[in-house]
Amino acid sequence: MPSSRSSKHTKKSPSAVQNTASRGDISRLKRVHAFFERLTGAALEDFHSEKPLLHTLHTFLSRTSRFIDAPAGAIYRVENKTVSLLGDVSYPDKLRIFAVKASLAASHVRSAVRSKRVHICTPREKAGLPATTIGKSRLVDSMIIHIPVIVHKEVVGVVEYIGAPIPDDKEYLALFCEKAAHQFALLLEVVKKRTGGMDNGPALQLLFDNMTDGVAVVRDLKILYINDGLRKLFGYTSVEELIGKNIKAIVAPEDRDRVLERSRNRFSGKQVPSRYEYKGIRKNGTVFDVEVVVNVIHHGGQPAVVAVLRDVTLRKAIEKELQHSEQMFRNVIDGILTVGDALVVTNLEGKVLQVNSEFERLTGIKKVDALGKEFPYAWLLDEEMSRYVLWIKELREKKSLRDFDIHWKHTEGKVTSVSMNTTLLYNALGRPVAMMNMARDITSRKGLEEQNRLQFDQLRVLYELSRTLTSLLRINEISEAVHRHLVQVLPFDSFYIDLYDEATGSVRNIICYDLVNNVRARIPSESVAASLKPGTGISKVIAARKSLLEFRKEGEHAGLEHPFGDKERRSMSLLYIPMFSKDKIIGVLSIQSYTANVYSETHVHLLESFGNLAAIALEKAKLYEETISKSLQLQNRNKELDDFTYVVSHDLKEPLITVEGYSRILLKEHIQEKNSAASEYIHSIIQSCARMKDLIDDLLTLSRVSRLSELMETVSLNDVLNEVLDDLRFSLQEKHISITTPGQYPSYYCNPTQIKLVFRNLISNAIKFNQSEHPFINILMEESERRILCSIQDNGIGIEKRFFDKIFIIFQCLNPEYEGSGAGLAIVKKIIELYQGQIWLESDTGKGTTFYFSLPK
Amino acid sequence: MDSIYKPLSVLLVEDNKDHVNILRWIIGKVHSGIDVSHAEDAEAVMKSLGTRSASPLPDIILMDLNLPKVSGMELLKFIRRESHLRHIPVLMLSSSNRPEDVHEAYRHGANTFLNKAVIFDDFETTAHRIIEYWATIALLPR
Repeated sequence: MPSSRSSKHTKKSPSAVQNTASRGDISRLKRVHAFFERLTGAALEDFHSEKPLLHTLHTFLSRTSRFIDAPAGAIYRVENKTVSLLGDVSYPDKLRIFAVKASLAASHVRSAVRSKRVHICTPREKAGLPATTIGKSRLVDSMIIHIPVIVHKEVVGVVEYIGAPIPDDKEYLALFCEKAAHQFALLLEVVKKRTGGMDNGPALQLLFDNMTDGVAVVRDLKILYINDGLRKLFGYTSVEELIGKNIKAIVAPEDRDRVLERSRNRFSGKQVPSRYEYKGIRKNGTVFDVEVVVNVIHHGGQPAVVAVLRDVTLRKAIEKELQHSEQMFRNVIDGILTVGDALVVTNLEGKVLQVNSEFERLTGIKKVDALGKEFPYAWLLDEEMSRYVLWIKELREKKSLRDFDIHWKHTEGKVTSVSMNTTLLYNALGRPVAMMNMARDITSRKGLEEQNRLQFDQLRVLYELSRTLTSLLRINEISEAVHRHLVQVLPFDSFYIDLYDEATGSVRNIICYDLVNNVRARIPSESVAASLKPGTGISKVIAARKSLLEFRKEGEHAGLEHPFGDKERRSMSLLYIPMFSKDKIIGVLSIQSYTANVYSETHVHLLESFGNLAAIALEKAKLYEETISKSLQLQNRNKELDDFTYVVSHDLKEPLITVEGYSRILLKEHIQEKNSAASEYIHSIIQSCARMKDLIDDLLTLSRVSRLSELMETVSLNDVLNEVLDDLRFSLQEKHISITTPGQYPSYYCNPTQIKLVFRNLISNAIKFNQSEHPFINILMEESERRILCSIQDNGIGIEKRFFDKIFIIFQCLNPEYEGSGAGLAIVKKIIELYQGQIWLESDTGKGTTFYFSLPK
Repeated sequence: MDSIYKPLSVLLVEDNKDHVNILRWIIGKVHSGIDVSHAEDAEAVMKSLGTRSASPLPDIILMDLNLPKVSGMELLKFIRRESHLRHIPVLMLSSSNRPEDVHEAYRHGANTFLNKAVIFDDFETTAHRIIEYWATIALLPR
């Protein structure tokens, strides 16, 4: 078959290839399918019999190699631009394990990794590459295949087959490659879920490191091993930080008792769930939802627990969203419980979830008995079962079916002809979750198909609206959606939604449609709220807290309805529905018609259902808009503060510079006597200027410090302290202060500039307020699970107890003998409080002071 | 030394008259022979130096960051844009050393950023050192 040999030809006319090459080879394609089915079966057996994963890996490699007649195969792991050879198989030899790393750029599998596509080298293309262990003669008519293994859109590995003969049939080869890639991806997925076989050496640890989920091996509550995924999940900088720690380190305080209890029980052999959720805690203290799957394995010859952890915060959020849409769904169901049709809601497998009273009447089966029933249903005739199955099958393609005539039988034997309408119900993610079947008794009420269809339409529209509303957050979009759906099922000429504010008693129209020249058009709403006018439909509805239906006779006009649209025509039928949110009326939905006596009780119920849906969505939108406007306000306030501090720093300093500058000129040029009173005064002026500048600078620092917006990072407190001591070394040397610090300090997630300010201010105070003959400063630090505790002790002048609170207030300088603005401790306190820490002190006058501060982790 | 400073001319752009007096005095301390001219706003400077024929050009420009109407930063950008002015060393002055201002000034090609509060504190050494340095640079053959 020449067409499949030439790749150029293949590209030019793909249809020709299909016609010649692929047709005759259907049996070969089938063989590929069957082979991989067997392989999957064998792999599953391996997993069930708890065979080591390397065994399975070997089976995969050797059997697939043999299948395409390749004398050798290998599997590579790809991660972070490096490629490691995990193992190879040279038929009929056993698998060998390697962990040899190379950079991706230099690796011969790079094309497959970069393109994410199968890469095939034929001997001609291969010329110039180094010889492999396989004899050259074997390569002449053979090829090398590189198949990328893709998990979650990432290439995590490459499978290589060497020396396979080139097949005539490209489709056959493509199918093989696709299947093999899929199987190896599955294998890596299984590794994620299964954790047995940790003892199988470095190759599998490499596999664990490849996983995006976190993996930890734990014994006696102690962490023995974690993979890189877990490190990332909990925000640590290195794997070593967690190894050897108690598992408490990755459990939020509120869940610690529960998780520890479970772990202890598991070790003592009690039954505990192997999959559960708990609150995890990151290194920086943030708490998030974690799902954990645990298994007991043998690690180093002793039992240990392998836990696979995953961040499920997103899934939790989706679940919440789903609950919200379930609420809407219930509203829909409530809406149709009043209709005259029999209703059966089932899940996709056909299990009954909901029925109504008409169903009970037709079948004689009570609701409690019907719930949970599965196909075949007792109310279907035996001879019609297969028809019913076909009907449901059709539903899967068409999503919604109408007018299916079938018989239902009563427990007492009576048979009723019903006409069924069935539709699929979807969740917020757009996945079908349930089937809604409505059956109308057509033996007694023939010819009512039209009404049946109408009611079905009403439900469908209501249901579509509920789905649309879940995704909308703007008041305008929501009210437009309500109008758009309402048009399909209710007759009206004008449509309004007014929001009611209970606190102010005012109403604000958010949407209005009315006829203008016989066309219904959106009429712009007033943007401001107006007080509620007594006597209007809206005020009556709000007072009575229930729906209002009004009909007017020709010539009778209350003149109070909305004055929009065609002024000379007046609404004859008016329907108002209150919209409730948690028992509070949040607005009124209204439709009106120029025709008299248009609306019935059914219309009232239907509009009430619309009102319920709109109320939930509008409430959500209101909250959303409030949040947005609050965050904007906050942004503006921060901006104002920025401007203010800038003005303070510049404009307050300018005059000082003038005063100081002239003073110095006076001193230098115009005062001859060095020790005169004038010279002394001017010195005082200059000193005051300097002090004022310091005050301004400190005020500035204090206002800037309040922002945590600068980059947070994990820093060694050792480095922070050493930098501060380095800056202060001249003053330390000048006063001959001996300073003691413990060797090792913990790391901390913080803004280093701020923590430096804390140390600098406390230490420079300890230096400044010290007159002792042998001054010393003693710095200690302790790390516990929840916090870092630090103390800075000196043997300086000490502080009287009654001033303990006062010293933290800005510009409270207790001792005029010492220089300084008195802002230092205020800055320290502010920073510590930003980190939710505490600062306190112990002091004896004349003996010294110790400042303590704690920083929660 | 004398021969170096004699022909040097400094342009001072500063709206605060008191600051002008003090700066003149400081420059005078560096060398009494330095010729100091003065402009109150950036627009005037752009006008007088804007044309290529403008002469003589100053050897050094000292300018305040906070000028009325057009800011010192704009003037700095203007000087760095014009090919016939580009070579002149510019010393930016400000009453604070707000990090954002300092970075921006250097980014737009300022040669030094001086905090007035600091130079007046310790004016003899700081001002001397900096003006002297740039004076030397300005007089090197281009």
